Amino acid sequence: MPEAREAIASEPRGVRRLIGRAARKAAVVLLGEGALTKPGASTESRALTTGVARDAATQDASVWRGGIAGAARFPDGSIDEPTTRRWRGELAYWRDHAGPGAKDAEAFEAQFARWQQLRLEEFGRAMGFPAGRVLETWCAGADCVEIGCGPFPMVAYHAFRTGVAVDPLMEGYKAERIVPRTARPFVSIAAVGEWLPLVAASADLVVLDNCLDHTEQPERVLAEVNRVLRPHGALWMLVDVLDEADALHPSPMTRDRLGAMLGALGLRVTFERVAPRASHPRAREALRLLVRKGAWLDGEAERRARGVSDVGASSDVPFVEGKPRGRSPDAASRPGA
Amino acid sequence: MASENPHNQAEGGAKAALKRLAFRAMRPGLSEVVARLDRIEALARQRTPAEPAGPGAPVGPTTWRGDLATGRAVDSRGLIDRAATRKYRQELSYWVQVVKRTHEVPNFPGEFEATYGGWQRGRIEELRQFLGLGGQEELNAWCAERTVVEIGPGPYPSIATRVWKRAVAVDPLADGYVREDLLPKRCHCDRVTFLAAPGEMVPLPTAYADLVVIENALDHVDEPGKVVAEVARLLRPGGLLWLLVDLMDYSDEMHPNPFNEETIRGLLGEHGFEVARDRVSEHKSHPQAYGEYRGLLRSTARVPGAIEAKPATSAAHA
Repeated sequence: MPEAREAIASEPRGVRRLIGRAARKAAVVLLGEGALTKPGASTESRALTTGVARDAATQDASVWRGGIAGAARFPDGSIDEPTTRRWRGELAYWRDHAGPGAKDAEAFEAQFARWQQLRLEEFGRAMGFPAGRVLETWCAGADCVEIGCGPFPMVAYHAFRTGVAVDPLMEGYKAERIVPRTARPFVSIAAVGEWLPLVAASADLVVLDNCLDHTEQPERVLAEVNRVLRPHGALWMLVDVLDEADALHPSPMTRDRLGAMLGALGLRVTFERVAPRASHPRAREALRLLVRKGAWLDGEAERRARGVSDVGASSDVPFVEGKPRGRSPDAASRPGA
Repeated sequence: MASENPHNQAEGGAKAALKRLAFRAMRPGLSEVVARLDRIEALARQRTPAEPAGPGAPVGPTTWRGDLATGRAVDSRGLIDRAATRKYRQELSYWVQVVKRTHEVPNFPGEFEATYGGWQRGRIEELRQFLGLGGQEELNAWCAERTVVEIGPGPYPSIATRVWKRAVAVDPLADGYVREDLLPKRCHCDRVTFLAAPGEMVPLPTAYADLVVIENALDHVDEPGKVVAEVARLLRPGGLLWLLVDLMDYSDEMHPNPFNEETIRGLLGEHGFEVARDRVSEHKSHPQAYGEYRGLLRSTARVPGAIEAKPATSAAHA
């Protein structure tokens, strides 16, 4: 297109500028908002406003089959090479630290069990439960789903009515016998967060700890979480605030990106704690969030977020009022940080 | 694109000159649009060889998402499968009628939950007899220590009549049952985790289950061989399969794979199942059937081999 490049280079003047402006407007009307912005940029901004990536339907997901020598396979049985390399490294990490042959496997698991205990206790406080047996009673009547949980999920150490742990590497953990030694029974599912084989409105609590930045399509993961949550359900999440992607973290999360994704689904943040120490070494901080769903099912929430419903506009301030949106200077002094 | 434009050719007359002028004047505004369209075209060309089936064709197993009126059968990328949608909607519509408008169903003896629950309790009671367990307490203790997976149970799984260590019900229509509020209330259904998945591809780890239950579902699936292979993968070595199949020669859209005594025994043997105890009787659930096969089978498949041998190593995605 040499002619087109010339046209961009030469600054249009007078009548030509006016007609050019009219043509731009016509293009926007005909082709929609974003028709004239750079293609790469518009994909991302649209993905954030609708909550689901535009090209979500064209990507397929693979799950791990077999032990450490196994592979990430697509539904048709074919091998997903890049994912296989990435996940084999992850599986090797767990095997070396917590597998049957690891030196301090028991201490390693005990550390996880302790973390999970602390995380659940903080969840109880964030929900506003008084001290005592309220949290225990709530959990006993609640269905909990944990996504991208690794081999030692929260549901392994606490009594929920039903506990479900979802991880694409689940079969690898089982095959390498990286399993909790003192676990309560829970259902292990080998699946990715982008396509949960769970039914709608089946969870009172979804746990998403250090997971979203590891996923390929975080918008789809949150849309699936929203579908699986019951009305008034809770999403308990821990997210590293990270500026750049790397091999293990293809979807770095910033506050704005996360806020836009939650807001698009009509989900509300009701509790936020900033932890200065994140799990990724280059992360700025970690956010611990309690996110609540309203008294609606997923379809209604999406309509609300798009402004189609007249029930009321969804909250456009997904973070709780009065909390700092940027990096907090006093983050280190917060209780429990 | 621009070189094919007729306005670039020499044309006589004031009208043509005006047209040419107008087009040139609009060029600055259109150039970005043209560049964007070119980019889209280039992307489309890049994608075409990778996806010969086209972006609209679903791949792999499909599951139902949504209620009866607006739901669809979709694959794991969210693409709609029209043929599966028709089949699943027919099946879901049957269950909606049975549960919500039971009186309209011919020969259905009474209220859904009481009647169907009675049948399901009877099936687990027969399992107790086949296992040789003494009484109800012994059966309850046996169940409480076991992980059970029921494949294609419909809205009222037989495993929901007991409390298990872990209980999973796998049905491609599970999301539809929940959206239509079909699950029974007066049993242990709230302790059963429903998974929306086809029996050909169950999203559970290998060697996960102590017991797999399939009640009148094998003749409904598209590929019974794949389902039985998947059951062999799901069962731990020595795990049990509790199977009920109608025996008939008649097939339709809902029952694409009818079995007779010989074919069902052959299929099970092929996948390494040995009979612990079985029976063939004249009792049946489908009106066209001539009888039913009931079996308690033990898996003899070596699981690690089963994992590596099963999936094809095609290079389609490599």
